[in-house]
Amino acid sequence: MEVRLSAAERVTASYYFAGGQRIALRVSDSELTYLHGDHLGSASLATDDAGAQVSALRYYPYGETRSGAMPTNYQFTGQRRESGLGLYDYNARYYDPYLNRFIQADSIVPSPGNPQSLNRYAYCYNNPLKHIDVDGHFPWIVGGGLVGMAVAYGGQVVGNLNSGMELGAALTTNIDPAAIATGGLIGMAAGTGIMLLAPVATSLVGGGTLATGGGSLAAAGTLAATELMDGDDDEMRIAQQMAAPFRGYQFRAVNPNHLPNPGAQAKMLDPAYQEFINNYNYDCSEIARDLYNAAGSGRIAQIHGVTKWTEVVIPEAGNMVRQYYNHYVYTDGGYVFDPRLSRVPIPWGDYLRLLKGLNPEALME
Amino acid sequence: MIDIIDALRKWGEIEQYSCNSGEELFSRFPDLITVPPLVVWRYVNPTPQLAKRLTSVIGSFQGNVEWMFLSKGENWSLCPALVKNRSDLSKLQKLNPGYGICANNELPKLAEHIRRASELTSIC
Repeated sequence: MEVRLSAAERVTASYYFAGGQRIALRVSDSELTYLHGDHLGSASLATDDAGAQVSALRYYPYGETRSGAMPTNYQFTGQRRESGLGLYDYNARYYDPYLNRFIQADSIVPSPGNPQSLNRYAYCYNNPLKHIDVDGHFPWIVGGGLVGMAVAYGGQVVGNLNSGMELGAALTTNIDPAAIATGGLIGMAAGTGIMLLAPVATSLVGGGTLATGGGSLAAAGTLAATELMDGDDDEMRIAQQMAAPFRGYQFRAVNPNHLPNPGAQAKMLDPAYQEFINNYNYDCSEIARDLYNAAGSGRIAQIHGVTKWTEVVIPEAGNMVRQYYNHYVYTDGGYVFDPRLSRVPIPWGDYLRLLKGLNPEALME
Repeated sequence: MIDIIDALRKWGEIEQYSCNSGEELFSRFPDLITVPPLVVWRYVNPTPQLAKRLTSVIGSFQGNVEWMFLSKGENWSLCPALVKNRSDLSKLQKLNPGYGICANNELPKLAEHIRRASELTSIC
């Protein structure tokens, strides 16, 4: 409830919530006004109980009012607008939608690895169409819960495909609803529409009732993420994927704040390139070179034994471990692209841990 | 029991190789015995004559599994005939693990056959 006082009157505004979302407003004793948000949770449309439009409000990308009005002060991304100041109260700080900046520095650096995070006045990594800021400290990615769930499912499907299953079987075999729910939670933790999706994820964890027919979710991780995101947001296509575990080695998901090289990722998933990956006369060095050329940056890492004829054990998908003299992989510095192990980039540290586990004496250059 | 790489070395200097079969590997990862073997190697001096001889030698091996030797390009390969590409390895492992076991058990005999043939060739 919110009470507004002026010299002439006392106005009481009561808000109604569902699933953490502000969905309706009653001013004093008037009829209910229903509030509708956009993908960022910004109040965009108000309707009466008959569904007729009462008012609408449109925003510029950074939240400045483009046109219209709303009967509530909770407007851009659902935050309270101080109408007298033109600022938004983001709890920890005030935000000026005209300047596109917070007017105070963030007291923390939420993601030190992300250069955009180092500007402590910046709003949502300067990417306001994708992120929201709930508390003035942390930008969150919109839609990450669904993406997380879809990608978790996609990851399982990709794992099945990597292990040699046909697509039909891969869509339905060894699908773990709990893992998908966890993916959703991870997606939300990585930054998204927390309130809307939490009940969905929770019910999946509790009931494990997810249909595994594949009809409602896209077939593979990359496709799933694409389906759920806005069309021009290619980055999300490869964000939050996770390589299938290899013999107990669990790989971390792709860090949405530090995405893998898109050129190398696209090459690795290019249907025309699959025959080279599967061709046993095609070398790992040739694959590494191709990915390097597609990426345009990064380097080719080499794994070898301590002497010329010391073998090293190299992991490959489908329970396959090989002996090699030298093994070459392309890395963009943060991730290793080894399509014979995984079509999803693997964080460099995880790959190193796996290789060192298999070959304690091996050298990596 | 001779290793296939050692046998292939008798025919020329090997620059690099990969192999998913062998006792040492199976002692660490016992389930790999069900994956059909795949040997890929590169000779320092690959010649058409060498390829022809190896084709003849491998073709003369009498075993329970049909083997396929390919010498196209720099990398030469040896694997059971049902393995058309890498993705077939995991498929065959799941669909017919006995095939992988049979082929892995036969590979050392093939290796011995290749080694003996190299000795005979050097005598001739």
